[in-house]
Amino acid sequence: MQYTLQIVGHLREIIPAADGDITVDRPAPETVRQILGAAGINPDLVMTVLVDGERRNKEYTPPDGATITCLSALAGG
Amino acid sequence: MNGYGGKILRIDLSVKKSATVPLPEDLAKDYLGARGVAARLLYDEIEPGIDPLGDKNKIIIASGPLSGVLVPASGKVTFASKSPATGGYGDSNMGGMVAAEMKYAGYDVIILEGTAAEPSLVIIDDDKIEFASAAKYWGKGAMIAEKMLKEDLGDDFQIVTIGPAGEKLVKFACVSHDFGRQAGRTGIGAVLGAKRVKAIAIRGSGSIPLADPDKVIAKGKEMYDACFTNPAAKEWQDYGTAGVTPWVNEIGSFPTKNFWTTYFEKHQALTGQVMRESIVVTDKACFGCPAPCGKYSHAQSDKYDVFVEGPEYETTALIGGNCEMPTIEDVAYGNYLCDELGLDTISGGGVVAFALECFEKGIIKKEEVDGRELKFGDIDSFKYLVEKIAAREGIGDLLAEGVRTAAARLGGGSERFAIHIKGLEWSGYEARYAPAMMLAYMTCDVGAHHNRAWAITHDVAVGREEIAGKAPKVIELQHIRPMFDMLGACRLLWVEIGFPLHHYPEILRVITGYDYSLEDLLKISEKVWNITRAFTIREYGRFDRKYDYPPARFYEEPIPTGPSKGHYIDMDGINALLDEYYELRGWDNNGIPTTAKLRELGLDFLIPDMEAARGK
Repeated sequence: MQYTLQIVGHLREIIPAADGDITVDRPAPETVRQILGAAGINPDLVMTVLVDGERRNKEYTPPDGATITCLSALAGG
Repeated sequence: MNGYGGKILRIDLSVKKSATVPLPEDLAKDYLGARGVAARLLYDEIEPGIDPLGDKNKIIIASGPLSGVLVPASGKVTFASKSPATGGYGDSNMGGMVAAEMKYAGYDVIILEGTAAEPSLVIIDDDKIEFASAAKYWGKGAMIAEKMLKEDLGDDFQIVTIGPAGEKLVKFACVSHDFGRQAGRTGIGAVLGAKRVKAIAIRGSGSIPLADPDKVIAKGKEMYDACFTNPAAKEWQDYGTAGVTPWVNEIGSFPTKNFWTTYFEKHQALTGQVMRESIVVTDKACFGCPAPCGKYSHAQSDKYDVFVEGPEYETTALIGGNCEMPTIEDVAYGNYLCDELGLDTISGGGVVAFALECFEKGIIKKEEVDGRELKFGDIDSFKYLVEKIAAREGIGDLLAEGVRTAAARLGGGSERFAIHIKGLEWSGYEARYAPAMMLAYMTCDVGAHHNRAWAITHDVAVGREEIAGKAPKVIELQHIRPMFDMLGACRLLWVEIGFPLHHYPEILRVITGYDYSLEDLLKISEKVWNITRAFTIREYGRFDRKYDYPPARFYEEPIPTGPSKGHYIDMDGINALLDEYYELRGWDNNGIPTTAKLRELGLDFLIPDMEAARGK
């Protein structure tokens, strides 16, 4: 199973490898949380996950070849 | 002066006179604009020890060099004054259209002095300054008054109003604009109310000189394109600040039940997604913004049927979690009540939650609240309390002073439930398991506010148990975020979609001709940070680190439930955070800037006041 992690926003500063997309290979389907962990990314740093453009939670299991966009947390109001 | 309106408008309300003077170029170069210029003017012009609600206080309304120029999200205006909430330096900024309109009228800064003899309107129409009776609008809700003024003066005026809470000098009254934008914090609405100014209307027809117009257009377009193509922009636009609610619960930092705990069991009913699906009518943007995070909502139940801008995340945290409202509709209705009454929703939610806990603990008695049974999670209790506060009736008169003063007068152990720093109620991130965020709150120059340094992701990234090493990031953020306030730009594009900082010195250069690097801008930000700190120290007189301490709940009570259960930062940890911070800042052991630091920053004019404070 191969996934592409696209890191957006301030996560790029926190995750040095996130300058470009990150490719993650896994032997079997995994949840977004597990895939992030396998890539060395603390899932707590990710606020929102988009899988192929659709909003998903971190317990979602993406299909093979999915692009997982990770948005950093925000503050405001 | 390229990039500036070029004038300061000084209005003496006592004698209904106004005068303009050129904006000194040195002031612009040294402090850029908005928060920077306001902080310096406030330090120079406010006599120490004055009553924030008295005749001698001033309100400084200031735009920045990016305001009104076609730069993404360049709609921020700063309101600064001696704060009635804290007794120290106060400022708050808001988006909308006022900053641009001021610049088009030729004003970078508007200074309100004195006190009007009667409820008044100040009408600024380019060079024409008029004063009119506000009798017709006095007592009206902030948004109702804005609508009336738009109808009476013309839709092309930009209107700033206060609600009944400002008129009644509630210490956390806000300034309202554009039907739902507020300069919410530090009680500037009460200062306007004390000056008997119900509203300011501004219309400008001029333009802003630019150092290199072609390059401004090219650079502005580059910045807009970078926003439009950013993968995070759609998410940000869809949910705005409310999108963060699930995450803050997931990490256990959501203010819940007057900060008793940090995880709200019903938070799934308050998320940005639920909000979007159930109550949002449309998106709403401030001047020049390509990513409209404002949400205009319609909240209905068998008790209410209202339209409101919001709720923003902070409102959801403080009215939602902190008062335990079970539905997004109830939060939106609470938001509407605060907006119309002219109350800051952050302090409003904090004060109501304080009162609810005091009632639960028997400190506020049933007979003091008209025989009512006050409860968390009850919109009727919330409505009752905010209306009492805004009218200063009964228990509301006490609560209108804010939690610090209310607790001091109530006694009975209520001090433990008063969640504030320096008198400003805590905003939407509980920090018992987030030391960097705790430090950011403790050292924020206006009190317990998140927007100067939102450091909680740093805690998550480097370790939430760690105390040592947190100060450098907090200081870095305290220079970056206020830089946006000086420029007159919204920081949210940088925060939310990771918009690169290098754009800002570049766009400033082609607008003004000032050749500043990012490091130069951050150095100016550091200067301003020291000025606002010095203002508060000068006001407090015998300043020491105790003013920076959080409430005892945060260093004595472990979090009782949720993902952060069991965590808190004890007093040794609190002091370790401050020790590291003070040392890196060049401040002494009491948090007072040292003479050496002030000399390094070129702030010699602060030295006598800080030496005097050190000697007390």
